[in-house]
Amino acid sequence: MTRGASVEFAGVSKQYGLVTALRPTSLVIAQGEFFAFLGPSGSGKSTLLGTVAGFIPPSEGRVLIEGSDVTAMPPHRRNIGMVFQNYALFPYLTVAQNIAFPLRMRRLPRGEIARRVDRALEMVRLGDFGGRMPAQLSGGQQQRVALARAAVYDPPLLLMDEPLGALDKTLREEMQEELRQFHRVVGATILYVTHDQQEAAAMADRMAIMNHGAVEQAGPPRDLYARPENSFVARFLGEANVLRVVAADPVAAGRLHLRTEEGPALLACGSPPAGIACIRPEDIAIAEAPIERENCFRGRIVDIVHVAGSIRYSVAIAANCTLSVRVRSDRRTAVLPMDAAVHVGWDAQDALVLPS
Amino acid sequence: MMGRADAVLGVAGRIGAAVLLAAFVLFLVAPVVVIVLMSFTDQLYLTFPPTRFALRWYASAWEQSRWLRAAWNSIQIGTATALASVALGTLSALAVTRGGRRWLLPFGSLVVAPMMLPHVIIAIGLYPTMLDLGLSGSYAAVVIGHTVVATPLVFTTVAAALRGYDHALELAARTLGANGWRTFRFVTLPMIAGGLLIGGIFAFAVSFDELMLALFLAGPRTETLPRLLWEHLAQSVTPTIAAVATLILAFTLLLLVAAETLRRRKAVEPPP
Repeated sequence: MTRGASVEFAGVSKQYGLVTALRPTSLVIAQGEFFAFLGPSGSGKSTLLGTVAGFIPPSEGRVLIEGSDVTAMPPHRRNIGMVFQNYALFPYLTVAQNIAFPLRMRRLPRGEIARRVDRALEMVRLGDFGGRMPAQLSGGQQQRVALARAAVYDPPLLLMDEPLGALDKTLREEMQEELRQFHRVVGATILYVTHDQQEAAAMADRMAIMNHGAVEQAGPPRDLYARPENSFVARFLGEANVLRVVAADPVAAGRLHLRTEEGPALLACGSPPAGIACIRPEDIAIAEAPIERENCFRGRIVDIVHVAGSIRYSVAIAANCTLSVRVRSDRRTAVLPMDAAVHVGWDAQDALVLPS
Repeated sequence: MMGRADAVLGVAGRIGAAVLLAAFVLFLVAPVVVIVLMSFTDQLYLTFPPTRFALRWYASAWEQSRWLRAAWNSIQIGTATALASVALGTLSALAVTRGGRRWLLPFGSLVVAPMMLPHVIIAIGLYPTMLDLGLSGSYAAVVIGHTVVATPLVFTTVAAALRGYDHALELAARTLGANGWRTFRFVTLPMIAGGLLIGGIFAFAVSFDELMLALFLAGPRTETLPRLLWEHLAQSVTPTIAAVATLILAFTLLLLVAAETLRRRKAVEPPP
């Protein structure tokens, strides 16, 4: 098992002429961590990965691996493994030759190469596929070859740029499980870029939410979901009902009475400044009878969506305020009818008060 | 059966299309057929249609050392031109497609420009230059002239090959421990080998068929087949010309078939 390498970004930024791809970013990733960069396209996550790989020289700042400055080091000397979205397998080489490529570049003896290639093929359960050409394999198999090729020389750091992006949903979930398993076995630090929040949350120890070339917030997935620092993070991870606050009056210690642009006034836990209030759909209760919660509103069901394991109601509680409410459902759950007059409610502590 | 094209064209259109096809055959293919047929004549002058089949003019060309020397010159010059254009064309294509510098993009049009320029203009430009350099009439002069007009062909085929696959292959090789040269040697080169070979064949064919530059730049020692043909046309028109022209035609066709076969085989290969 390899010891993972630590990675540090010290004020790394990237400008392309007048365009800023990455604003000054500082971040420390611990040894052996599975760290995900999550954000919409153009948020700078791939740029950040490129500075670690050595493809993109930062405009300013330094990149450190295991404490040593690699900012000016060419990619082939960094001893990093990388998995690309479209696998980037060499189409004119067999699977075994693809996996042998990094070992040949390191001028390992022939016998050693053969031994390591066999071991890597076993690891990704492709023992019988060494003689095939990449084009003869399925997408998932190609991805496993790419993984084996990036890991066969035991690099202490692995970079993955949307590695599951080209796979269909079922296969993607299988591969997520496989990658987590792989991370446990190999022990290398993994930097993982994705735009899929479920994927990031399912796999990463910690993740950084990126937007407009900057890290909005970094931390364990659960913390980011429970305590987002701004509305972008709140909306990007899961769903959130966002109400704009026009006035906030303290009513007790840590409790605010909020008036909102959308109409409803509500009680929430938090402290000024209060710019917005977020309520997760699953934190809202729904019933025909009034609900015993600190915030309770009457409304009408305007939309019903069934998803696996839950039902999502859209409930209009004011002229321009429709809340999304998610309730768990099984075969015995009674579904409320469309247009039904209902009550929705939540406690003050369920609402997040954020500056903006 | 009434095809879609027929429905669109109508009767007048169909007659027009037939006339166009006839004209195409008459003006483009017929002269070639005439030349080939005339080369097999047994007469002392060019006749059409030939009266009796004979190979005496092929034998005659074979016996004249000047034709053989010209053929050998053409092959040498064509090979050198192909090698030089492959080197220059590949480097230019790499610079334009992989250079990563925006100012390099117009450079692509510059490389292709000689393909549009009349050869006579290039010849007028090169002729005094070669005189100054003391190269006039040398192999180098003809090879340089032909490389100017053949490089665009290599550039186009190699640039297309480079654009035809994901740049991530090279990035992957870099992360896997290959330096710049080994990335080119073990990734870029295998990926563009087909385009390179086709470009090289085209470059050879262009040089092999080229007259104008050879007229200006070649000397008696370095005269090429097209140049010798030209001279014979101006002086003594014998069926030898038809025989040599037929041989050139066959050789060029062979090159084109080779290039086309390579291109198809490349197209059949599954995408990476």
